[in-house]
Amino acid sequence: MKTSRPRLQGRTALVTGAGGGVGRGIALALAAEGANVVIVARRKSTGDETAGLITREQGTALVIECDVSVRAEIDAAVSLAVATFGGLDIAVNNAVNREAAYPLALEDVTDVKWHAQASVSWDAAYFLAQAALPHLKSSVRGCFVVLASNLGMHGGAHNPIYSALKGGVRGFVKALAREWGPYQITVNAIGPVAATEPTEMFLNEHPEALEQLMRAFPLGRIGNPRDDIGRAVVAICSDDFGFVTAQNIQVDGGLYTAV
Amino acid sequence: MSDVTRAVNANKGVCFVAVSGTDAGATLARGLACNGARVALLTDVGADVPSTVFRVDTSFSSRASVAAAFARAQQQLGSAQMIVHSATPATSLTSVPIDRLAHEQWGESTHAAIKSTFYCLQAAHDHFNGKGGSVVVFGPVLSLVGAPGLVALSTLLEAQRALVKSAARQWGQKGIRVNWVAIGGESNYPALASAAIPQVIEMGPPPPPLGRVPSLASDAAALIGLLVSDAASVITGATLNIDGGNWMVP
Repeated sequence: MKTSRPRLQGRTALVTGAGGGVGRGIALALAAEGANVVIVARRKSTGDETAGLITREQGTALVIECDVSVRAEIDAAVSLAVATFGGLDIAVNNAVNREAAYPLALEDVTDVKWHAQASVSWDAAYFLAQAALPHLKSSVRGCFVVLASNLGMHGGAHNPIYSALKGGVRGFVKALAREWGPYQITVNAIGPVAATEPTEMFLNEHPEALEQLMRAFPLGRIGNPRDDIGRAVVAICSDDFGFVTAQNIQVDGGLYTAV
Repeated sequence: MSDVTRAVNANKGVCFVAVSGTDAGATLARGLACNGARVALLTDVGADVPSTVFRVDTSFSSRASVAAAFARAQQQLGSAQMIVHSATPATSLTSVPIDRLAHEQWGESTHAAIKSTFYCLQAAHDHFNGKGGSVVVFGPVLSLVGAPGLVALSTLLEAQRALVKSAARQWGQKGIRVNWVAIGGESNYPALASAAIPQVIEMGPPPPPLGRVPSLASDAAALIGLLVSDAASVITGATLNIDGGNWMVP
């Protein structure tokens, strides 16, 4: 439901990987604050589901089917967003390859495995930054947000490709924020921990892991994709966070504190 | 030579220095050799090395070619106790705003370089298998703060640093320690001399804490020697800044 005083009224936000999970949560939260939301999804059907949830709450959404690892498709998505809503103020690089969820021994990493994840994480961020820049420059409050992970800081053993990619996002954001600061564009990363559907499925099947994980959260619970992660992105894109840039912000209930 | 370095080199004599993209490897190899280590330099640049360093011209473009270079170094010097690695392609050290960064330069600076690091870590794992050993990966310190025009380099370095931690966590039980050394001073990376590297935060000209730029050949070689010693037997996954106290992080 839209809030009484929407903080992002009239702004346009593009979210990649918004067909489910954290991306959907971010899209819903942005729409609830009045943003026109461009849902970029690998499969149109999942994007339509997210759009349906937004329009049910009187929000505005546009669905674009897109493989974010292909520059031409990112370019086309940004062009369509601008043509539809007259500009682009917020770009959120969220999409992730599902291989990131599986454990992997470093000695088993191959070029194919690397590119499967890296093209969706790194290349998409690079393509989106290039495509979005002219429009973010024209915005009164340009924001570029990249989804990182505490595993990139912690250097998780679970999947070295994922850890390296998310670590790389830290560097990407710090450098890009310095580069785009003169344009008054903020660039930040968030490291979310949220109960997405796959996470919940895994934890339901492994109650011992659930119990152990819950003990690790100072707040005693895992995040909600919309209410916890999405609203954090809203805050970062709002005027309240207009002087915050180049940061890697953990939105994880206090799970990772070794910064 | 310090007592620690002397002890290290007396006990842990063979080091493979596998460095792609810059002549930093040659400088470091020279320093390690001066300290008494027997050093093989695996390199893809044409830097001069002293006769005390065994040079292996290496392609870092595939796992097989890196493994072959390791095998050649082992054939010449025997098994290494330490492997030092860095991959910073020349393209990554050239400042270009992201909107003018060509796809090819992005790919060479990020994907190709981090894959080199994967190959070297995998070769190190195979080389140390069952025996344990120490790996040090190094690169410019700037990724800790970021710099305009160097998005690809900053992405690469932070990815390598995270990968070091991940490797340290996976291989600790195998006796393999993996650490990251961040090198300060543009003089150690001449290609960055004109880059807009951020200055430390001070009200006025920053006082240099130690008053000098650290040297790869002496300061870095000494620390790397320390990291292979028993004195560092419980240090793994760490980030060690050799920047003379410039950026005091974390």
